[in-house]
Amino acid sequence: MVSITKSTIKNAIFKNFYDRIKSQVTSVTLSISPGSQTIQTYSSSYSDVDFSSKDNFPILVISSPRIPQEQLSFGKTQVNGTIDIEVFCTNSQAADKFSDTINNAIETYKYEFALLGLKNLELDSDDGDFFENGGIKVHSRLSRFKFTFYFNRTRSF
Amino acid sequence: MPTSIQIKGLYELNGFLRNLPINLRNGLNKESGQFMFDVQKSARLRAPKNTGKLRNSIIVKKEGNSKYILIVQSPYGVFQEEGFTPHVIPIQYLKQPSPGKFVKKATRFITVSKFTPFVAPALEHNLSKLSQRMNKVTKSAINKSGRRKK
Repeated sequence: MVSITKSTIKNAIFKNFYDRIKSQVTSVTLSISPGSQTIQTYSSSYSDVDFSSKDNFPILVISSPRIPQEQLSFGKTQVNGTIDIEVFCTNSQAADKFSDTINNAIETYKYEFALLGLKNLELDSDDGDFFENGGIKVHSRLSRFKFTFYFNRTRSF
Repeated sequence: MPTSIQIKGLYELNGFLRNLPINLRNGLNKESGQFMFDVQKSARLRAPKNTGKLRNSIIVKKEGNSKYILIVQSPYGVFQEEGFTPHVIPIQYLKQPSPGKFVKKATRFITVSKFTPFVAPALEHNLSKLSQRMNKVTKSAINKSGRRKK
């Protein structure tokens, strides 16, 4: 876990989620063929991923967090952030199972995130999609987590 | 016999009515931006990829405080989206930067008929969840406006 400071807020939050997901979400067992699936690609952006080869699937994308800020008090700034974690699979059951594993990984380690300053970490929304790209049928599941982070603001006159 | 009527909570009600439109507007602005970025992402995932130029040319532009526009900058994006009648073209057409330019010595021909709409399906997918999003924003704005100020 990386400590989160005002100067490294975006990078540190991303790194914490990325490390947590990479260590907790690796593979799932399926009741249908091929029996089990292991994440082949971890990425920070879906633009960087090659969807044209079936060998790259399942793909897990942890997007960069969004960190809109507002003034909470004279001395504190409140960050109401969100982070998207999306999994792309070639079958729907694997996508659902990976989505459950992702949600569970974050939910179980809420306390560790809170110790780093990420409070009120909750699943904000989830979404599912299906599309065909280059002859490959892709099922995606998105989990959007929201969190709150506070830091001491610089005072100006 | 004198009668006095005391109405309690008017101050809070005034505050609520004052804050509700502001919070609602802020919430809707934020959510409409998020909606367009989700449409952009869906469209990019659905866009056919050969060189990746079409996919990367799908952008969201913000105009003013609350207007978001989805733009497909690639010139052949419209043909992929809208489609066209199957026809034969010189293969050189596909290689030149400005499509439709006259080719003098065409040696090989190719039939073009396939098209893959990507913006309409992306919009369809996201529009189906728009009402849920609006509900969420409205609920959040009401809660925020009703919060008692100290």
